[in-house]
Amino acid sequence: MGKYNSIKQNVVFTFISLFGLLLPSHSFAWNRIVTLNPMASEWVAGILGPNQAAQKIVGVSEYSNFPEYLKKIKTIGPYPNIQFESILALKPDLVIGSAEYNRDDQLQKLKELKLNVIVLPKENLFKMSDWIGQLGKVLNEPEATKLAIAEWQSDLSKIKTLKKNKKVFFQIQFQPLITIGSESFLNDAFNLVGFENIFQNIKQSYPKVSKEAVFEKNPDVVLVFEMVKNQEDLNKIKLTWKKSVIQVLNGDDFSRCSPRLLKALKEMK
Amino acid sequence: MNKKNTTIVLIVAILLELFLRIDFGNTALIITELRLPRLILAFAVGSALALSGSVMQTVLNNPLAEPYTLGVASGAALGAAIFNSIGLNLSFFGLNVGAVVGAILVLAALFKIIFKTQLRFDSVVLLGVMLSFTCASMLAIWMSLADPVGVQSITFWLLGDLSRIGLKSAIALLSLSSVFYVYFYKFSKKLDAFLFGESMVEGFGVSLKDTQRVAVVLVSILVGFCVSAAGMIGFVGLMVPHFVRKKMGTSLHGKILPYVFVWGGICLILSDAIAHAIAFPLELPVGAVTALIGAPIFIYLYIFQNKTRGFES
Repeated sequence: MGKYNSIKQNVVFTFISLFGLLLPSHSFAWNRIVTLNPMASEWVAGILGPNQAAQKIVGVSEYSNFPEYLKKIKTIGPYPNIQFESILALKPDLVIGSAEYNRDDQLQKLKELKLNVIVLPKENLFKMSDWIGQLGKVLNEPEATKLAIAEWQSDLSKIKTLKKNKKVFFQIQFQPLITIGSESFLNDAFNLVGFENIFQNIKQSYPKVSKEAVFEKNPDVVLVFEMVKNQEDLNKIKLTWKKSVIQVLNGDDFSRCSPRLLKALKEMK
Repeated sequence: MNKKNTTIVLIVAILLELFLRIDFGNTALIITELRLPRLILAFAVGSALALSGSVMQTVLNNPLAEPYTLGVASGAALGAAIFNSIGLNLSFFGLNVGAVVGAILVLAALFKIIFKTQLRFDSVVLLGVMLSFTCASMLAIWMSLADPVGVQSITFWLLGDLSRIGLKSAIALLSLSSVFYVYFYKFSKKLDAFLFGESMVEGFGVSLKDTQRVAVVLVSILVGFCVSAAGMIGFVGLMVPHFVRKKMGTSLHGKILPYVFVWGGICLILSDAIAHAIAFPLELPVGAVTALIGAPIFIYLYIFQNKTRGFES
């Protein structure tokens, strides 16, 4: 939210990670980590590895459902509205949030409570090596970080551009109608695969649009992200977008800018 | 309703707010850093809103009048929403800067209407209500264009959020609320003159226009502070004065204002304790809980305990 904040967060983050560089690597290990949103949870767990992560992560936000073992860790509330008491009660030595997903005022309050808060900047699909590198420095895991970066680059290169110039409407939610704008990493992700987002001119992450706007743009394909509960809901959606081809995707795989996303993209037809 | 009952309920409310559903991992820190500021803020805002509601109801001679009637709160909420969405989450002595700006702008408009025009007071009130509608609709439009996290933040704020403020600011707000209380208590007799109808006020030697204007402006300032600190918490300002009047059987301000002040605080402390504990770790907005619990109690009091009806003493 707001360029000012994300630039500020980037500067702070760079400063802190540079500071991390100066410390001898063997003297530092965080033992009680709390993550404030599912994206942070997934990445921290990914870099630390299952053994360390299960021990060292003591609190996660709600919906931190990947990797599976994170579901057993105590939750500290949903990411737009984290619970300060739960976080304080866990006595964390490291709290990781995101400028993109957590509220500025809540992050500020955590800092006022004298917790060690690291705020991750907004992720960019093509600049993830830097992002992963910074997170890795904070967690002090140089080897795991190098592996993660290499894996990311390799997965990224394996994504083939499939169809050319297919106009796609990405339906994140039906009511109200939410789609992907140019600021979301999903926009970049699907551009890679060769889908053209009919709303990529909107400078927001997940704008609400009207049905008329979609009909006007006349997409070839509609990609539906939510869990369609039953045939009735799917029929309603099909009726609305009559001419286009409807494809229902597993929304969870695409919800975070993580290796799962790349693997899901690789498998797209 | 007497001093003893009130004190007992107040103590119970304080204990619940401090200790209900407490996580024993880091108790001392949680109580001092999180619960104590909430407690003090809840009392400050609750008492201020109840006081404001009582004065508004008297001076506007309308039992449905409440602190938010004249639109300062909507202006504050709109200001907070706009500042939030352009990324400026600044704090001025604990108050949300956007909200303060919004409140000041609406106050300025009110000032202009009240002191610079020759309008009847009824028209003043109507214009204030229009201001309120304008801000509320602009807020609705703003929210429909905002991103989900921003909307969540503002929604919570629109329904009241007592967790955004620190200890020092909470104490400052409590002092402010107390100062306003002392002022209005001193002028109880003047306010009592309104109880016999607007046409009788001048007969008591009280200037109708001046008293109305001053009261409305002071209330708006107090409400501006409250909303900038804790968002819009409804019900307390409207219902607590009625509740106290009914229980005490009088509308005389010398008698009711102390109880209105304290019971406003109690009401909000209890609501906050429940809002925080009932769906842990989710947190309900305190404004919703105030109405949800208070309204049935109020209905019961009015319909089933029908000895004295109405607004007059």
